[in-house]
Amino acid sequence: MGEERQQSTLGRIVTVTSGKGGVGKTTTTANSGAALAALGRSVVLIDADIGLRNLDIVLGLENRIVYDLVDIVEGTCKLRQAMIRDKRLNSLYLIPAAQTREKDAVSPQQMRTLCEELRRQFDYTLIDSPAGIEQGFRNSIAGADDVVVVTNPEVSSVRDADRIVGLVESSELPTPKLIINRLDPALVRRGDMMSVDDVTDILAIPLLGVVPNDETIVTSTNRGEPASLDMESRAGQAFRNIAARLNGADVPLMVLEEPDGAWHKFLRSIGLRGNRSAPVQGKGAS
Amino acid sequence: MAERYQGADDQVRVRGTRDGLVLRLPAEAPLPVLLGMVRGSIDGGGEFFQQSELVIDYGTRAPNVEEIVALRALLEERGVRLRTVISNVPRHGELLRSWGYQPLRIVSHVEDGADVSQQPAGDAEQSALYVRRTLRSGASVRADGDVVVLGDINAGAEVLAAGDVIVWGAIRGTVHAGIDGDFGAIITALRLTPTQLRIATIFARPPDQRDLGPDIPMVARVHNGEIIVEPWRPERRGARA
Repeated sequence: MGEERQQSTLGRIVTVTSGKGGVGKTTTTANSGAALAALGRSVVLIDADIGLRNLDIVLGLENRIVYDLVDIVEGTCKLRQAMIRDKRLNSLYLIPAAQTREKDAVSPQQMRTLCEELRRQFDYTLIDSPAGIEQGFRNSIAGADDVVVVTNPEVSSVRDADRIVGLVESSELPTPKLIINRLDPALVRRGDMMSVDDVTDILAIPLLGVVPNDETIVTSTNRGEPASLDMESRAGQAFRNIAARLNGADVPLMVLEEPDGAWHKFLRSIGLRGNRSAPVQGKGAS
Repeated sequence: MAERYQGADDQVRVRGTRDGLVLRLPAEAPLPVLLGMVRGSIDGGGEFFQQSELVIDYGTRAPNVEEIVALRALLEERGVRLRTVISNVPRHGELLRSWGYQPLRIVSHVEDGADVSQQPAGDAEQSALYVRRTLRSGASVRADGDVVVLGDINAGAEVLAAGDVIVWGAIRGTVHAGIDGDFGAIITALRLTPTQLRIATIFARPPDQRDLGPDIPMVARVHNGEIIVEPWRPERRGARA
């Protein structure tokens, strides 16, 4: 009520969170951010995981850090000084986390102030939230317009995502959107992994994307090169789709079947598995 | 409008909550001033308050029977029903309860309390607590009467009710009906795949092998000292699949 934001002229603040650790928040932030920048949008990524910074590594920018998020809010440096420009994309910036401080070095109010500043300068501000539901999480959603919840298709991760969705809903933010990360279509088919339907049935929030389990993520993370810039990477494609959806495009879910397995070719040839659009739509075992 | 009493916690505030309107009283204000303020708030709201129900929140103010009677009369003159009276101070809460004003009984473990939805169980026989949303992991709902949930009760959430628990949705979490010892309480859901069910003092959990059972409305009740789960309206006729 009342406080309409001028979305047409100001950028959006999107927080990526999950509850559980290790499900791919940082990977999602780095890859969607890089893909948004590759679409020509101006993007700043904030690593809000103070004390456990990672986002700089995934982007391959760790050796360029001079100032960080805490320096900005404490006034030690100017905002511009702490923003590191990506080495590949010149509309992508990173504000790194402080490594030697704690989550309470920043307050929700300070985050809100920072976000208000950033939305005047960037089309998208993506905030990489720390795991958990404590202060670091609260800081990271304080200035957000939208929240993206990342989960893996497994029970404990979904349980934590559910908790996070509840907390976001009670913070008067819009219903968060869901990314299911590390889905293995073969396991789903065998009934050994939760399907997309299983997850969305429980969480009941809009699906922003499904990212297949893909070992190129491991190598790209270690090399500090976002997979979303690698046109061969299937996970990278999924992140490019997610970025396009964040940017307002209507992109269908990608087909997650491995395209070239001999077994699948055989099944297709005898008509057992046709051009099914995405096993992600099915109930898993088929 | 009412004359304003000076200071911070010194005004009548009305807030809309999930459970309706809550009128928060100032900490100090003497009775005549208080009545003036309440009158101002209600009359200032025009038709907004007509035929509505209101919860009076004493906050930190010390409750007093004559005052509540006067407030109730004032509200009733204006077609507003006083649903119950609550307080932030536990001691005052007990006092209010002893006067017949049931507290809003939903407790939530969510840290900032923003996930709290509340409902009086004032006249528990007539009014069930109606929860019109999905209860997600970490949410906890308690009621002195029956509970109706339009939405799911997800794993990690719990509902505790003195009466029945009716869920138009899935139960994946823990539900305890008849917490005060009512073995006649029942639990129903469109999809009953709970973590655990409890009725009165009896606990039950689904079998370990994950046979989710038929996807039809089910009811759990106590039969011969055990919780049994069976399809709602078990007549064969019209039964699906």
